[in-house]
Amino acid sequence: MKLSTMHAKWQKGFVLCIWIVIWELVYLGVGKAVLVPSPFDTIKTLGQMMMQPSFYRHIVATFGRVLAGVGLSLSLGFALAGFSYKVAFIERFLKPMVALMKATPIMAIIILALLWFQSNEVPIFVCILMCYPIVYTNLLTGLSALDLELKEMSQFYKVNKWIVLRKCYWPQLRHYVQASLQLGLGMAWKVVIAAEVLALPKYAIGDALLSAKLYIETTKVFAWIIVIVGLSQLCESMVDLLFKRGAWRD
Amino acid sequence: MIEIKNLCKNYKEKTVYHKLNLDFEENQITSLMGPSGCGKTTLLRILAGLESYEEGQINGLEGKKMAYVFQEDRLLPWLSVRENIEYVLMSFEEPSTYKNRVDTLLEFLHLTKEQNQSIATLSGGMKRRVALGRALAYEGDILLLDEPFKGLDEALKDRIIQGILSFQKRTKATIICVTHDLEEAKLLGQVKRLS
Repeated sequence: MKLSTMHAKWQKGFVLCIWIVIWELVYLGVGKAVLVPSPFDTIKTLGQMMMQPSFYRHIVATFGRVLAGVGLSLSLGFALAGFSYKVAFIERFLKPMVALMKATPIMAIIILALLWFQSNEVPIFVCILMCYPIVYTNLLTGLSALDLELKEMSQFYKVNKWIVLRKCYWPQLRHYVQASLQLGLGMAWKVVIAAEVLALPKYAIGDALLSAKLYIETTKVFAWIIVIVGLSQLCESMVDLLFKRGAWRD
Repeated sequence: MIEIKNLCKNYKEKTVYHKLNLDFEENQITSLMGPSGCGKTTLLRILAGLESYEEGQINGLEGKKMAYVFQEDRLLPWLSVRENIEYVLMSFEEPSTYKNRVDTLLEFLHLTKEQNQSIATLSGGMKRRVALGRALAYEGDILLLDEPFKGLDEALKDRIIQGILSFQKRTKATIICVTHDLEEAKLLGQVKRLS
């Protein structure tokens, strides 16, 4: 068992090394650091960035916006999916709105949001608009798939609603909630940073990315991309952990 | 006595009952027999309050606590055998009050060894016994059984029938049991036919 776990870890490290070698080869092939910097320079730049307090301020601010956006999307998604499940008319009423949200290009939403909100609020609003349809659709699918025979049995035996929710509904819904959270978080990082690039709030990873681009500091852009991917992966792992080991497991 | 008077029930175009009159003795076991599709399960569902009807009257159910072994097992597959039985009890009783009762039932249903096993790992017959255990543990005044011995071998079936007879003697519950097996029906007691 331990051997196989080690094996998987070694495999992951090996794959990462291969990708770093490929990156280095692309860098050597292109021959211009301004287009593709070397992985070693990028890591060095990342180290330098980490020495500055503003690096953490940008991360905390963006992380806060991601959490706020995902939190509000989840709340809205839960509430509206619940209503849609109970009342068919609400589902029909919301359908065009959800379809519109799914099809509208993100840039169009950001431009509208820039007209309507202050720079600090734009990324959160855009995040809600992009993540809410994912959460809503996933949860509604989960609710529609609930076993009606078990629901009827629980109602017949007059089982307390909290117990029904915890013991009967939650085990059926948790995979949909987990998928909503993971998909929503993955989307949120991209959307929030894209909105920050245009809205330019005081502290933001998007703002730092734009500054790096304006000063043609490609290594900094690559370093920020590593940070963003790392943070996104960290969030995904936290959700995984919460559902695997947490009290939410039932 | 549970009294059914002039009961009419339709499913779209199909008439299930037209002015059905039937009664079930209180504190007795009655087996309900009849050909497939004659409405035995529908009648149990109506008695359980899970199905509506167009016309008629049902007396004798007021204020009665009911338990039901559904035609399907309706078990929560992610819970263990014991947890499935306790699921319908935990809203009304403290674990200390039902623990011994559940232990006795598990022993009677030959499920003591499997009590912590997940439902997903059980055979069809075992699942049926868990569904029966859940209804018996609930200790209702009226017990509705829809083919409760489906999938059980003969020896076990006989033992469980004897167990239900002694359960009825002890609790004085009114039991209505839908079955296709005349032998089974005779062992349980009075037989009523639905045509």
